[in-house]
Amino acid sequence: MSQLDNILEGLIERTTNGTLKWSRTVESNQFVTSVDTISVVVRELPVGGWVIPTSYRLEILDEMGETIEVIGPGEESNNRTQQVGRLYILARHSALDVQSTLAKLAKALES
Amino acid sequence: MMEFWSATWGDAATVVGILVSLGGLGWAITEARGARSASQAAQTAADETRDQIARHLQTVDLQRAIGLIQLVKTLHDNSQWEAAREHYQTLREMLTGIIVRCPEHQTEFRERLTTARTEIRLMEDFVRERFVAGITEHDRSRLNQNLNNIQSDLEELASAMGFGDSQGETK
Repeated sequence: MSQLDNILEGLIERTTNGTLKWSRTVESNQFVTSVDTISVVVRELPVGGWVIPTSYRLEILDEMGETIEVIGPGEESNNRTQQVGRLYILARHSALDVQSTLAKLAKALES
Repeated sequence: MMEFWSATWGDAATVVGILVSLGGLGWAITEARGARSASQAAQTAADETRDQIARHLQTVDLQRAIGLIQLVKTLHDNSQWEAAREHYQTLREMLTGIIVRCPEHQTEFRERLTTARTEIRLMEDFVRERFVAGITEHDRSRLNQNLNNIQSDLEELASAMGFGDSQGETK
């Protein structure tokens, strides 16, 4: 397993257990988080200019804010692409606080 | 009796000498401890002062960044996108300056500033990509909303530094 795969796994694990919080950005299909001074951005991309979003892009920025790594369309490893997609969904849930909104809705419907 | 004292004088003197030495050693240890705690207290005071100065400088830098965000919002409102883009860069550099001077133990502070800096970078990309086609009212609203979020975050951090008031109102 490569270092990037380990990083992806770590991001997924920490987002799943809630120790890594994601934030919204200016684009509704893009989310950001930071681990110390390193940022990670995940984005859902439209395929071939169409609005059907099926592919994802992950970008890692170093402590000076420069992009140092990108995982995106064209990635050879299919597993890595799937992991970025999974991370996007988790990041979106975290940034939009989906669980909290659903809990509020469920509570409102009960009363 | 005299014989006894003559015979044991040396031993008695040795015992007294040991007692005096032990007393002296005890006194020396107490003095050394006092000096060490005084030195430690001076070190702690120096650390606290240095920490306070660092926090004060961080607050000043954060207030400057908040002021700049307010200016960028005005530029957005006046559709001065080129000028706004230049200020995004300045803002990112300011945040980088605060991040690199941040003490090691302030991990959460650093992470929030790093996220804010990346959000600004993404805004910069957003404006650059849409500039030619024209930035819509919806885009402007999203940009200002994002800036408001960053501004609130920086105000919260400045306030948490414990150096009082945050300036720059959130639009």
